[in-house]
Amino acid sequence: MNVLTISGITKHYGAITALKNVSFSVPEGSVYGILGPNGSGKTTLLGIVTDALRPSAGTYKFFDGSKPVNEIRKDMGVLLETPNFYPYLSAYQNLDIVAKIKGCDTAEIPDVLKKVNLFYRQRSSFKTYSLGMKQRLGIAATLLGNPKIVILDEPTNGLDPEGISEIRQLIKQLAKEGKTVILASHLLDEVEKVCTHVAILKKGELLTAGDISGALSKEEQTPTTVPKSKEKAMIEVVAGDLENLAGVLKTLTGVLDITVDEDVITIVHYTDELTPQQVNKHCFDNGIVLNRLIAKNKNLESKFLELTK
Amino acid sequence: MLHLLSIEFLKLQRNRSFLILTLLFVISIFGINYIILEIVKNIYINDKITFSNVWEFVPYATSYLLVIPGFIMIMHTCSEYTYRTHRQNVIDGLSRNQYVTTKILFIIILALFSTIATIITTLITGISLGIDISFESFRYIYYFFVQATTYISFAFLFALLFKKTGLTIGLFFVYSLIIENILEKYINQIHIGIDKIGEFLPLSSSEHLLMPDTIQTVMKIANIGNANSEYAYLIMSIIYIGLCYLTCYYRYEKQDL
Repeated sequence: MNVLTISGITKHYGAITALKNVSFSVPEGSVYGILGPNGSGKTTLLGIVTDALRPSAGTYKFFDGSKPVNEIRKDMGVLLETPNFYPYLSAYQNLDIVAKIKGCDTAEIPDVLKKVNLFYRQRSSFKTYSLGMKQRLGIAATLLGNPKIVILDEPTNGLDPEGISEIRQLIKQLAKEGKTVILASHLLDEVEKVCTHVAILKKGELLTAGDISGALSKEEQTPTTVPKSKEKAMIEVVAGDLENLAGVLKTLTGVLDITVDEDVITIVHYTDELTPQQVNKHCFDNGIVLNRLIAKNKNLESKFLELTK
Repeated sequence: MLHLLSIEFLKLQRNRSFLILTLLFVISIFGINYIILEIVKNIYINDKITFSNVWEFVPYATSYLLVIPGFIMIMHTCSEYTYRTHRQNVIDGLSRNQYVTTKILFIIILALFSTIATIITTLITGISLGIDISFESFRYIYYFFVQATTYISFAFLFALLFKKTGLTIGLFFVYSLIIENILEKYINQIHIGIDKIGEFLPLSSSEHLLMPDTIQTVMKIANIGNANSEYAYLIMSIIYIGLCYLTCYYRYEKQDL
């Protein structure tokens, strides 16, 4: 069953079109990543499904659409863009307001504060919090009332490395509990590590959507000579003289396409027979000693860059 | 309804500006009436003032202080825009209508509070003058409540329209103190069967409603006295309050938060 179905959503801000006819659906129990560069419309899309923004066209529904949307929002934890709280109230008092709106037990407040390591500061007013602590409180608020759906918009904003890894654990934990998580991010690493599904937006247009392996292979324009198993792999090589190295690599049979960056050469496409050992030997035979040779998975990042180019 | 109000009071529980302004408002009500009392004492001989006069005068004088609850309402509404909690409340599960209803309930509580403070001040004033208590002309207290509700409601509408505290305060006070009075003067010159139709502008209606006979005698010199019946002002004021709330609901329903 789909938790959320988005159909043909368009949003204009004056002359700017922030979303163009976006449609996809989020299956129950998935961790759905919404990816896109800055300004691609991720927050606008989440703002629309949480009723903060009005779509110019299109509709959305939660489950079968029979329950009033604001009742569904009470059973949803949402952190949209920035954590919004009353600055002069303490963490506890702020969560008290959220709990009252959601109609959940205030006895849960200490528990969610402990989950994000803010319990010791629960009596301090929100304005005294650091950026990371504010973000943690925002995440605590999304956990109130044990929601079925959690929507997190850039949840690791302003967090330290420890905080980022805690959020990752938290998302995995939520998924394990059977909750549906919708995660918007421009941090591909974040999405890749936790998501089961992904939708990629660029300038308001949906480029691809679906489960992570499917969405990534769709529209893949690799030469047919490259077998499926190698589709996601690439080899990075670095040597003292990159120009020379590029010339030598082109002469190696099996290499189909390379990209030359400032400090690294990547063999993007190559035939099945080519192995990293062969690359190494070929270079050495041609008088080049490699500083680095890495066989890498063609990850979400390269796919993302390719799609949003 | 009580649930919505309890959320509103949780928001204000430690809001220092709100608490201080409310306190200042109460002090000002006592203050302005004390000053007037001192002046009146010297003009009139005590036995000429009846309790009925006090019920007329105190609400009228106090109505000039309604700028303070108007200011409180603007500050409270605009600060929610500043903190973006107006959108967070909706995201967390309030419907947009509930959000506006909460604010309207708060307006009524604020108007009731002002009215009760006025009743207490009237009683204290009358008693300190040594007059026997009577409730003749108590209707001016109801009229005061209507004016307070109108004034604070329009302050809320301005806040919803303009969102920024400074801008809203500027526009609302310029409108209520200057623009509407000028408009009233010009519209009064239009003759369509009703005398002084400019008196029926949104804020003017309730101002005229609260204008006691004794004040009108003075005001007639400046051609400001009431030309229409109390009931006409009352009905218009209630219509305006209704229209104001409808606009607020409509505006909040359509707005991007």
